[in-house]
Amino acid sequence: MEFDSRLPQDNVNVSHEAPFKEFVVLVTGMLALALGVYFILGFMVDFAIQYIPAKQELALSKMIKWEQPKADKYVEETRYLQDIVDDLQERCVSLPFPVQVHIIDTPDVNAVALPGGTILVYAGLLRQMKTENELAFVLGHELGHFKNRDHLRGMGRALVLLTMSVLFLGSDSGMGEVILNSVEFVEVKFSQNQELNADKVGLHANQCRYGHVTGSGDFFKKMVQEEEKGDIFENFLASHPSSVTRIHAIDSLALESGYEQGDLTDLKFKWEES
Amino acid sequence: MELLIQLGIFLFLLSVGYLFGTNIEKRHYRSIREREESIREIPTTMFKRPLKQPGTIVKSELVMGSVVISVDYFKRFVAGLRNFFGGNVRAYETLVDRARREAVLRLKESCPTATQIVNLRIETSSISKSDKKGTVGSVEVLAYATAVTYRK
Repeated sequence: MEFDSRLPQDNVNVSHEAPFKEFVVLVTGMLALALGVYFILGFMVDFAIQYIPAKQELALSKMIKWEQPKADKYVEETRYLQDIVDDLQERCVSLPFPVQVHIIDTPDVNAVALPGGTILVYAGLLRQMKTENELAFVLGHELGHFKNRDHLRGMGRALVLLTMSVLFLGSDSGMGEVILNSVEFVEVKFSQNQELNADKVGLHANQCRYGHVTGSGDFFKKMVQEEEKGDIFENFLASHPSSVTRIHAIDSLALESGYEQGDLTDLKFKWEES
Repeated sequence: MELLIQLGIFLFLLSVGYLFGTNIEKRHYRSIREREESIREIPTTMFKRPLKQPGTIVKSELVMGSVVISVDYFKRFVAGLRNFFGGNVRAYETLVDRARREAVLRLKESCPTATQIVNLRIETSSISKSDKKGTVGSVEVLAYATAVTYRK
Protein backbone atom coordinates (compact mmCIF):
# COMPACT_ATOMS: atom_id res chain seq x y z
CA MET A 1 0.00 0.00 0.00
CA GLU A 2 1.33 3.37 -1.04
CA PHE A 3 1.33 6.08 1.60
CA ASP A 4 -0.04 9.32 0.27
CA SER A 5 0.45 12.24 2.61
CA ARG A 6 -2.25 14.80 2.03
CA LEU A 7 -4.13 16.98 4.41
CA PRO A 8 -7.94 16.94 4.28
CA GLN A 9 -9.47 19.77 2.29
CA ASP A 10 -12.25 20.50 4.73
CA ASN A 11 -12.62 20.10 8.46
CA VAL A 12 -15.74 18.05 9.01
CA ASN A 13 -15.41 18.05 12.78
CA VAL A 14 -16.39 21.65 13.38
CA SER A 15 -19.46 23.59 12.32
CA HIS A 16 -18.73 26.54 10.13
CA GLU A 17 -21.57 28.60 11.48
CA ALA A 18 -20.65 31.80 13.27
CA PRO A 19 -20.71 31.24 17.04
CA PHE A 20 -22.35 34.62 17.51
CA LYS A 21 -25.40 33.50 15.54
CA GLU A 22 -25.88 30.54 17.83
CA PHE A 23 -25.54 32.86 20.80
CA VAL A 24 -28.24 35.21 19.49
CA VAL A 25 -30.63 32.36 18.68
CA LEU A 26 -30.17 30.72 22.07
CA VAL A 27 -30.45 33.93 24.08
CA THR A 28 -33.58 34.96 22.19
CA GLY A 29 -35.12 31.55 22.79
CA MET A 30 -34.21 31.68 26.46
CA LEU A 31 -35.65 35.16 26.93
CA ALA A 32 -38.87 34.23 25.15
CA LEU A 33 -39.18 31.16 27.33
CA ALA A 34 -38.45 33.11 30.52
CA LEU A 35 -40.98 35.80 29.62
CA GLY A 36 -43.60 33.20 28.81
CA VAL A 37 -43.06 31.39 32.10
CA TYR A 38 -43.07 34.68 33.99
CA PHE A 39 -46.39 35.74 32.53
CA ILE A 40 -48.05 32.39 33.01
CA LEU A 41 -46.84 32.13 36.60
CA GLY A 42 -47.85 35.76 37.13
CA PHE A 43 -51.41 34.99 36.06
CA MET A 44 -51.40 31.95 38.29
CA VAL A 45 -50.32 34.15 41.21
CA ASP A 46 -53.16 36.56 40.49
CA PHE A 47 -55.54 33.64 40.48
CA ALA A 48 -54.14 32.03 43.62
CA ILE A 49 -54.05 35.04 45.93
CA GLN A 50 -57.81 35.16 46.37
CA TYR A 51 -57.60 31.80 48.12
CA ILE A 52 -54.88 32.75 50.58
CA PRO A 53 -56.34 33.29 54.07
CA ALA A 54 -55.65 36.56 55.91
CA LYS A 55 -53.68 34.73 58.59
CA GLN A 56 -51.33 33.40 55.97
CA GLU A 57 -51.01 36.84 54.43
CA LEU A 58 -49.88 38.30 57.75
CA ALA A 59 -47.39 35.48 58.28
CA LEU A 60 -45.97 36.08 54.80
CA SER A 61 -45.75 39.81 55.42
CA LYS A 62 -43.54 39.22 58.44
CA MET A 63 -40.94 37.70 56.13
CA ILE A 64 -40.32 41.06 54.57
CA LYS A 65 -37.91 43.28 56.41
CA TRP A 66 -38.44 47.00 56.42
CA GLU A 67 -37.19 49.75 58.61
CA GLN A 68 -39.41 50.18 61.64
CA PRO A 69 -40.46 53.83 61.89
CA LYS A 70 -39.03 55.67 64.87
CA ALA A 71 -41.27 56.77 67.70
CA ASP A 72 -43.76 59.17 66.19
CA LYS A 73 -42.89 62.79 66.63
CA TYR A 74 -46.39 63.92 65.76
CA VAL A 75 -48.54 62.16 68.34
CA GLU A 76 -51.64 64.30 67.82
CA GLU A 77 -51.52 64.16 64.05
CA THR A 78 -50.87 60.43 64.02
CA ARG A 79 -53.86 59.83 66.26
CA TYR A 80 -56.00 61.95 63.94
CA LEU A 81 -54.92 59.94 60.89
CA GLN A 82 -55.41 56.72 62.85
CA ASP A 83 -58.97 57.78 63.74
CA ILE A 84 -59.79 58.36 60.08
CA VAL A 85 -58.32 54.97 59.13
CA ASP A 86 -60.15 53.21 61.96
CA ASP A 87 -63.41 54.82 60.94
CA LEU A 88 -62.91 53.90 57.27
CA GLN A 89 -62.03 50.35 58.24
CA GLU A 90 -65.03 50.01 60.50
CA ARG A 91 -67.65 51.38 58.14
CA CYS A 92 -66.34 51.41 54.60
CA VAL A 93 -63.34 49.21 53.78
CA SER A 94 -63.51 45.92 55.61
CA LEU A 95 -60.14 44.30 56.19
CA PRO A 96 -59.37 41.12 58.14
CA PHE A 97 -56.59 42.82 60.13
CA PRO A 98 -56.01 46.18 61.87
CA VAL A 99 -54.05 48.90 60.09
CA GLN A 100 -51.50 51.16 61.81
CA VAL A 101 -50.59 54.64 60.59
CA HIS A 102 -47.19 56.24 61.09
CA ILE A 103 -45.99 59.67 60.08
CA ILE A 104 -42.47 59.82 58.70
CA ASP A 105 -40.75 63.15 59.03
CA THR A 106 -39.30 63.57 55.56
CA PRO A 107 -40.25 66.04 52.82
CA ASP A 108 -41.29 63.23 50.41
CA VAL A 109 -44.76 63.71 48.97
CA ASN A 110 -45.84 60.12 49.29
CA ALA A 111 -47.69 57.54 51.33
CA VAL A 112 -46.84 53.85 51.38
CA ALA A 113 -48.82 50.76 52.36
CA LEU A 114 -46.46 48.17 53.81
CA PRO A 115 -47.36 44.50 53.88
CA GLY A 116 -48.95 43.40 57.14
CA GLY A 117 -51.11 46.44 57.75
CA THR A 118 -48.88 49.50 58.13
CA ILE A 119 -49.39 52.80 56.35
CA LEU A 120 -46.51 55.28 56.24
CA VAL A 121 -47.51 58.85 55.52
CA TYR A 122 -44.65 61.23 54.74
CA ALA A 123 -44.72 64.71 56.21
CA GLY A 124 -44.29 66.27 52.78
CA LEU A 125 -47.64 64.83 51.74
CA LEU A 126 -49.43 66.16 54.83
CA ARG A 127 -48.02 69.58 54.06
CA GLN A 128 -49.88 69.50 50.73
CA MET A 129 -53.22 68.58 52.29
CA LYS A 130 -55.86 71.30 52.53
CA THR A 131 -59.03 69.39 53.45
CA GLU A 132 -59.85 66.23 55.33
CA ASN A 133 -61.53 64.87 52.23
CA GLU A 134 -58.37 64.62 50.21
CA LEU A 135 -56.49 63.20 53.19
CA ALA A 136 -59.18 60.56 53.70
CA PHE A 137 -58.97 59.72 50.01
CA VAL A 138 -55.22 59.09 50.24
CA LEU A 139 -55.72 56.90 53.32
CA GLY A 140 -58.60 55.10 51.62
CA HIS A 141 -56.35 54.56 48.62
CA GLU A 142 -53.73 52.89 50.81
CA LEU A 143 -56.42 50.76 52.46
CA GLY A 144 -57.41 49.81 48.92
CA HIS A 145 -53.97 48.25 48.43
CA PHE A 146 -54.64 46.05 51.46
CA LYS A 147 -58.15 45.24 50.29
CA ASN A 148 -56.99 44.30 46.79
CA ARG A 149 -54.16 42.25 48.34
CA ASP A 150 -51.64 44.02 46.15
CA HIS A 151 -48.80 43.02 48.48
CA LEU A 152 -49.47 39.35 47.96
CA ARG A 153 -49.50 40.03 44.26
CA GLY A 154 -46.13 41.79 44.50
CA MET A 155 -44.67 39.08 46.71
CA GLY A 156 -45.98 36.41 44.37
CA ARG A 157 -44.32 38.07 41.40
CA ALA A 158 -41.09 38.45 43.33
CA LEU A 159 -41.27 34.78 44.25
CA VAL A 160 -41.77 33.88 40.61
CA LEU A 161 -38.73 35.98 39.67
CA LEU A 162 -36.69 34.36 42.42
CA THR A 163 -37.65 30.86 41.41
CA MET A 164 -36.86 31.57 37.79
CA SER A 165 -33.48 33.09 38.56
CA VAL A 166 -32.55 29.99 40.55
CA LEU A 167 -33.89 27.74 37.81
CA PHE A 168 -32.13 29.44 34.92
CA LEU A 169 -29.04 30.91 36.54
CA GLY A 170 -28.40 28.60 39.48
CA SER A 171 -28.71 29.23 43.20
CA ASP A 172 -25.29 30.85 43.52
CA SER A 173 -25.64 33.33 40.71
CA GLY A 174 -26.23 36.17 43.16
CA MET A 175 -29.39 37.19 41.35
CA GLY A 176 -31.61 35.89 44.14
CA GLU A 177 -30.05 38.26 46.61
CA VAL A 178 -30.45 41.14 44.20
CA ILE A 179 -34.16 40.42 43.83
CA LEU A 180 -34.70 39.99 47.55
CA ASN A 181 -32.89 43.20 48.37
CA SER A 182 -34.44 45.19 45.58
CA VAL A 183 -36.58 48.14 46.50
CA GLU A 184 -39.42 46.67 44.51
CA PHE A 185 -39.67 43.80 46.90
CA VAL A 186 -39.44 45.69 50.18
CA GLU A 187 -41.62 48.64 49.31
CA VAL A 188 -43.59 46.66 46.76
CA LYS A 189 -44.03 48.75 43.69
CA PHE A 190 -47.51 48.42 42.33
CA SER A 191 -48.56 48.46 38.74
CA GLN A 192 -50.49 51.41 37.37
CA ASN A 193 -53.57 49.28 37.20
CA GLN A 194 -53.27 48.42 40.87
CA GLU A 195 -52.96 52.12 41.68
CA LEU A 196 -56.13 52.90 39.74
CA ASN A 197 -57.98 50.09 41.49
CA ALA A 198 -56.82 51.41 44.86
CA ASP A 199 -58.12 54.84 43.79
CA LYS A 200 -61.53 53.26 43.31
CA VAL A 201 -61.51 51.95 46.86
CA GLY A 202 -60.47 55.38 48.10
CA LEU A 203 -63.35 57.01 46.23
CA HIS A 204 -65.91 54.54 47.55
CA ALA A 205 -64.50 55.10 51.04
CA ASN A 206 -64.96 58.86 50.75
CA GLN A 207 -68.52 58.48 49.53
CA CYS A 208 -69.16 56.16 52.43
CA ARG A 209 -67.58 58.41 55.06
CA TYR A 210 -68.79 61.81 53.92
CA GLY A 211 -71.82 61.00 51.77
CA HIS A 212 -70.17 62.72 48.81
CA VAL A 213 -66.88 62.62 46.88
CA THR A 214 -66.02 66.31 46.62
CA GLY A 215 -62.33 66.95 47.21
CA SER A 216 -61.25 63.38 46.51
CA GLY A 217 -59.16 64.28 43.52
CA ASP A 218 -57.94 67.63 44.84
CA PHE A 219 -54.54 66.27 45.60
CA PHE A 220 -54.07 65.15 42.00
CA LYS A 221 -55.20 68.51 40.71
CA LYS A 222 -52.35 70.04 42.64
CA MET A 223 -50.09 67.41 41.23
CA VAL A 224 -51.01 68.34 37.66
CA GLN A 225 -49.78 71.86 38.28
CA GLU A 226 -46.61 70.58 39.87
CA GLU A 227 -45.91 67.87 37.34
CA GLU A 228 -44.10 70.25 35.02
CA LYS A 229 -41.89 71.48 37.84
CA GLY A 230 -40.93 67.96 38.71
CA ASP A 231 -38.85 68.61 41.85
CA ILE A 232 -40.34 67.17 45.05
CA PHE A 233 -43.04 65.28 43.22
CA GLU A 234 -40.68 63.16 41.20
CA ASN A 235 -40.57 60.59 43.93
CA PHE A 236 -44.31 60.24 43.93
CA LEU A 237 -44.69 60.19 40.17
CA ALA A 238 -42.04 57.56 39.67
CA SER A 239 -44.34 54.82 40.92
CA HIS A 240 -47.75 56.20 40.04
CA PRO A 241 -49.82 56.77 36.91
CA SER A 242 -50.05 60.32 35.62
CA SER A 243 -52.31 62.54 37.70
CA VAL A 244 -54.45 63.52 34.71
CA THR A 245 -55.24 59.86 34.08
CA ARG A 246 -56.20 59.41 37.68
CA ILE A 247 -58.41 62.48 37.83
CA HIS A 248 -60.26 61.30 34.72
CA ALA A 249 -60.65 57.82 36.18
CA ILE A 250 -61.97 59.19 39.47
CA ASP A 251 -64.39 61.61 37.76
CA SER A 252 -65.83 59.00 35.45
CA LEU A 253 -66.21 56.50 38.28
CA ALA A 254 -67.96 59.10 40.44
CA LEU A 255 -70.32 59.83 37.55
CA GLU A 256 -71.01 56.14 36.89
CA SER A 257 -71.68 55.40 40.53
CA GLY A 258 -73.95 58.46 40.85
CA TYR A 259 -71.89 59.92 43.67
CA GLU A 260 -72.78 63.44 44.67
CA GLN A 261 -70.87 66.57 45.51
CA GLY A 262 -71.00 68.18 48.94
CA ASP A 263 -69.29 70.46 51.45
CA LEU A 264 -65.64 69.99 52.25
CA THR A 265 -64.53 69.12 55.76
CA ASP A 266 -61.65 71.09 57.27
CA LEU A 267 -58.53 69.43 58.56
CA LYS A 268 -58.41 69.14 62.33
CA PHE A 269 -54.82 70.26 62.47
CA LYS A 270 -52.69 72.81 60.80
CA TRP A 271 -49.40 71.44 59.63
CA GLU A 272 -46.62 73.49 61.11
CA GLU A 273 -43.62 74.13 58.93
CA SER A 274 -40.62 72.69 60.70
CA MET B 1 -29.03 49.63 39.99
CA GLU B 2 -27.28 46.62 41.46
CA LEU B 3 -28.94 44.55 38.81
CA LEU B 4 -27.61 46.82 36.08
CA ILE B 5 -24.08 46.61 37.47
CA GLN B 6 -24.27 42.82 37.55
CA LEU B 7 -25.60 42.78 34.01
CA GLY B 8 -22.82 45.14 32.94
CA ILE B 9 -20.13 42.94 34.46
CA PHE B 10 -21.67 39.91 32.81
CA LEU B 11 -21.79 41.57 29.37
CA PHE B 12 -18.22 42.79 29.82
CA LEU B 13 -16.97 39.29 30.63
CA LEU B 14 -18.96 37.92 27.74
CA SER B 15 -17.48 40.34 25.20
CA VAL B 16 -13.95 39.95 26.59
CA GLY B 17 -14.36 36.18 26.34
CA TYR B 18 -15.68 36.48 22.80
CA LEU B 19 -12.99 38.86 21.51
CA PHE B 20 -10.04 37.09 23.11
CA GLY B 21 -11.41 33.61 22.52
CA THR B 22 -12.02 34.23 18.82
CA ASN B 23 -8.65 35.86 18.35
CA ILE B 24 -6.74 33.09 20.09
CA GLU B 25 -8.66 30.44 18.20
CA LYS B 26 -7.92 32.04 14.84
CA ARG B 27 -4.22 32.25 15.60
CA HIS B 28 -4.15 28.70 16.88
CA TYR B 29 -5.81 27.33 13.77
CA ARG B 30 -3.36 29.22 11.57
CA SER B 31 -0.44 27.73 13.47
CA ILE B 32 -1.98 24.25 13.38
CA ARG B 33 -2.44 24.38 9.61
CA GLU B 34 1.12 25.58 8.99
CA ARG B 35 2.68 22.95 11.25
CA GLU B 36 0.53 20.13 9.87
CA GLU B 37 1.68 21.08 6.39
CA SER B 38 5.34 21.14 7.37
CA ILE B 39 5.29 17.82 9.17
CA ARG B 40 2.89 15.82 7.05
CA GLU B 41 5.67 13.79 5.36
CA ILE B 42 5.99 11.41 8.34
CA PRO B 43 3.41 8.63 7.77
CA THR B 44 1.21 8.34 10.83
CA THR B 45 -1.23 5.45 11.21
CA MET B 46 -3.31 3.61 13.73
CA PHE B 47 -2.00 0.25 12.51
CA LYS B 48 -0.29 -2.14 14.89
CA ARG B 49 2.56 -2.82 12.44
CA PRO B 50 4.54 -0.33 10.37
CA LEU B 51 3.79 0.09 6.69
CA LYS B 52 6.13 -2.00 4.54
CA GLN B 53 9.20 -0.16 3.55
CA PRO B 54 12.81 -0.96 2.62
CA GLY B 55 15.47 -1.13 5.33
CA THR B 56 15.55 -2.38 8.90
CA ILE B 57 14.14 -0.93 12.07
CA VAL B 58 16.86 0.52 14.23
CA LYS B 59 14.80 2.32 16.81
CA SER B 60 11.25 2.20 18.12
CA GLU B 61 10.07 4.32 21.00
CA LEU B 62 6.99 5.53 22.81
CA VAL B 63 6.13 9.09 21.94
CA MET B 64 3.49 11.32 23.54
CA GLY B 65 1.95 14.69 22.98
CA SER B 66 -0.56 16.30 25.22
CA VAL B 67 -2.30 19.64 25.45
CA VAL B 68 -4.75 21.35 27.79
CA ILE B 69 -7.04 23.99 26.30
CA SER B 70 -9.46 26.10 28.26
CA VAL B 71 -12.84 27.28 27.19
CA ASP B 72 -13.53 31.01 27.17
CA TYR B 73 -16.37 32.73 29.02
CA PHE B 74 -18.43 33.27 25.88
CA LYS B 75 -18.19 29.63 24.76
CA ARG B 76 -19.02 28.39 28.20
CA PHE B 77 -22.12 30.59 28.33
CA VAL B 78 -23.34 29.48 24.90
CA ALA B 79 -22.70 25.85 25.80
CA GLY B 80 -24.63 26.39 29.04
CA LEU B 81 -27.63 27.63 27.07
CA ARG B 82 -27.22 24.70 24.70
CA ASN B 83 -27.34 22.46 27.75
CA PHE B 84 -30.87 23.67 28.32
CA PHE B 85 -32.27 23.20 24.84
CA GLY B 86 -30.16 20.24 23.72
CA GLY B 87 -28.51 19.68 20.35
CA ASN B 88 -24.96 19.92 19.01
CA VAL B 89 -22.70 21.88 21.32
CA ARG B 90 -21.10 23.72 18.45
CA ALA B 91 -19.27 26.07 20.75
CA TYR B 92 -17.12 23.22 22.04
CA GLU B 93 -16.44 21.57 18.68
CA THR B 94 -13.55 23.83 17.75
CA LEU B 95 -12.15 23.48 21.25
CA VAL B 96 -11.86 19.69 21.06
CA ASP B 97 -10.75 19.78 17.42
CA ARG B 98 -7.92 22.17 18.23
CA ALA B 99 -6.86 20.08 21.22
CA ARG B 100 -6.80 16.84 19.21
CA ARG B 101 -4.79 18.26 16.36
CA GLU B 102 -2.40 20.11 18.63
CA ALA B 103 -1.72 16.94 20.66
CA VAL B 104 -0.92 14.92 17.52
CA LEU B 105 1.25 17.75 16.23
CA ARG B 106 3.23 17.88 19.47
CA LEU B 107 3.63 14.11 19.32
CA LYS B 108 5.02 14.28 15.79
CA GLU B 109 7.22 17.23 16.62
CA SER B 110 8.75 15.26 19.48
CA CYS B 111 10.30 12.78 17.01
CA PRO B 112 11.17 14.69 13.82
CA THR B 113 13.70 12.03 12.73
CA ALA B 114 11.25 9.10 12.91
CA THR B 115 10.42 7.29 9.68
CA GLN B 116 6.92 6.27 10.69
CA ILE B 117 4.54 6.71 13.55
CA VAL B 118 2.30 3.71 14.21
CA ASN B 119 -0.36 2.67 16.69
CA LEU B 120 -1.51 6.22 17.32
CA ARG B 121 -4.08 6.53 20.12
CA ILE B 122 -5.93 9.60 21.33
CA GLU B 123 -7.43 10.03 24.79
CA THR B 124 -9.62 12.89 25.95
CA SER B 125 -10.41 13.92 29.47
CA SER B 126 -12.01 17.00 30.90
CA ILE B 127 -10.27 18.82 33.69
CA SER B 128 -12.62 20.05 36.44
CA LYS B 129 -15.94 18.63 35.38
CA SER B 130 -18.05 20.70 37.75
CA ASP B 131 -19.26 24.04 36.48
CA LYS B 132 -19.10 25.63 39.91
CA LYS B 133 -17.77 29.13 40.29
CA GLY B 134 -14.02 29.48 40.44
CA THR B 135 -13.19 26.25 38.64
CA VAL B 136 -11.74 26.22 35.15
CA GLY B 137 -13.46 24.24 32.44
CA SER B 138 -10.81 22.81 30.16
CA VAL B 139 -10.11 19.77 28.06
CA GLU B 140 -6.98 17.65 27.99
CA VAL B 141 -6.08 15.57 24.95
CA LEU B 142 -3.28 13.02 25.13
CA ALA B 143 -1.94 11.39 21.98
CA TYR B 144 0.50 8.49 22.25
CA ALA B 145 2.06 6.27 19.63
CA THR B 146 5.13 4.30 18.63
CA ALA B 147 7.75 6.12 16.57
CA VAL B 148 9.72 3.77 14.35
CA THR B 149 13.02 4.68 12.70
CA TYR B 150 14.36 2.71 9.70
CA ARG B 151 17.81 2.56 8.23
CA LYS B 152 18.51 1.42 4.67
